[in-house]
Amino acid sequence: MELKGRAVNKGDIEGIAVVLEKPFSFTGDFDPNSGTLTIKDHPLFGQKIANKVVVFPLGTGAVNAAIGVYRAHKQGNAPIGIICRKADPITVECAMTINIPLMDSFDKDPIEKIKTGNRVKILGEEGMVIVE
Amino acid sequence: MILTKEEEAMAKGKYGPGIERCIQLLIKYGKAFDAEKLVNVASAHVFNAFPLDLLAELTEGAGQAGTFTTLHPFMSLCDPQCCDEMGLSEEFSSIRKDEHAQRLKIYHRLGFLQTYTCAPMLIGNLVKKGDFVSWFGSEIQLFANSVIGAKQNREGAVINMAVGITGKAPYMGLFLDENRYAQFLVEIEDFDPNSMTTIDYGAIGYYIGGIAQDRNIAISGLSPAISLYDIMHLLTSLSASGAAVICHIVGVTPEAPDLAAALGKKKPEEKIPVSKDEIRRTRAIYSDLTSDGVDLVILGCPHCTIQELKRMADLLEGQRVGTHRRLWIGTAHQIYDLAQTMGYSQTIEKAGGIFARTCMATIPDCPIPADVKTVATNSFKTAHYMDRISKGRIKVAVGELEKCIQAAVRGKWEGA
Repeated sequence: MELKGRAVNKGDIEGIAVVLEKPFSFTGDFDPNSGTLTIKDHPLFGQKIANKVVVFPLGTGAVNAAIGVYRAHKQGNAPIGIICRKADPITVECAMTINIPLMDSFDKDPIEKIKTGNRVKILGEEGMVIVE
Repeated sequence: MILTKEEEAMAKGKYGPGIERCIQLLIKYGKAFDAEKLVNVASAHVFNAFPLDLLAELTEGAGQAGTFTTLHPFMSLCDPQCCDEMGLSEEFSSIRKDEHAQRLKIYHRLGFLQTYTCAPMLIGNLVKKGDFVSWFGSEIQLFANSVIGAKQNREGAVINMAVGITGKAPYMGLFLDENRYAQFLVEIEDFDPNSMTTIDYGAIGYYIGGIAQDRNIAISGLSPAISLYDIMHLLTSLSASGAAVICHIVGVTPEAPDLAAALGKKKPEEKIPVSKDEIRRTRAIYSDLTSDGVDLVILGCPHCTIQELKRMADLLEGQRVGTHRRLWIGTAHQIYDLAQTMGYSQTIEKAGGIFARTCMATIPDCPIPADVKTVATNSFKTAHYMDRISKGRIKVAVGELEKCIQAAVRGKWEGA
């Protein structure tokens, strides 16, 4: 399946998706020292997003979020791509700081179409995500 | 995006690889939000505890900063001047002290002012209505928009650093007048200014922040006579529970002489009432220390004003912080110097208080000594973060400054 969207930060990568159905914060919902999700009482609590493609509707990170993402990246604990419905300024900053592909504004809802565990390809130049 | 000749030269590396990287970041970031151009900022205030290697990358080859720039407090309670006295472990603090010494060389080259405070507008980094600014710290981002009428976006630490280094910011978001109107209206009911305390104002901010989330806020029904100090507490609490960047206080905010102006003559998306009941319930969130002694009192989120230091000195004259208890006070060293000239800081230090130029919300890692189990503070933001970052290890209560000082002396959390 293909999703057409906007590449906010370009780049081509391929990886396993982790999909969150609700707004996500790199400051409260993510531990940079382990690369895992820390959302209380969530089925994906403890799930690694390190070296994966994280998919969420909207970002809600604090103003120091990019610092945490940078530290995670240095330890090999950061995701390799971000897909969201509509990128907020803090999420855009996070993706640009560690230069990973970020796409948003799709023709189909990525939260519905992509499932956790799916292999996805982000093709930034073409503005496309391929879900296998 | 339309760039000036100078901006184009920056983007092509004429001023070195650091400036090139910064301006490329700002251009790409601006494009993501349809910014048509970059603008010059009047002032910047940047995150001090920046990762050293990223800072080196962003400043490689750069000379003086592109705008007047001040530095945010030390994080992790790690002020090199007092972290040993505060009881932070050598293992924890030594690496941070070394890192800061390295960063300082870069800050010095760029001419960043070593202010180490979250309230730079109190010590010389002040701007005027309509100025474009880039200040780090969610509470002063609110302050810039809501009290001064300057134009500030919700900006993260990296973008903000790039703005400080280049003096340029994308023209987007709240820089545009049409994006500044409130969508979320708070109506204060049965307002009696004489019965309101600083903590009550903090409670209003803490309550509405969580509901408004990232929407622009207008508060109607407060007295225009509200003190600047109480506004600082309201906005600081608001920044802990929410992500709004502008909160029009009708009758106070320069752009909001009346409610219609705050709302841009439109209907708000949502309207909530705030009465004494909401204030009481919010205060009750952090009130549970009745059966425990107080081990540590933290004041200075936001950083203490000179007026607060005078009140503390008056209360602590001839008193002493109890054995095995601690009193930590966050303030700018420029305010500390004034307090010393006046004799306030000597009285506070003689009583056992310790001054720190750190973030008193204990962000990002809450390295509070293990023997501290209970904390009293006059800040909802300190309470909010300490509760979360310590994962509940530390019990925390919020009360007026006088009550906090009394707790530091007597060890009991009691009285009004």
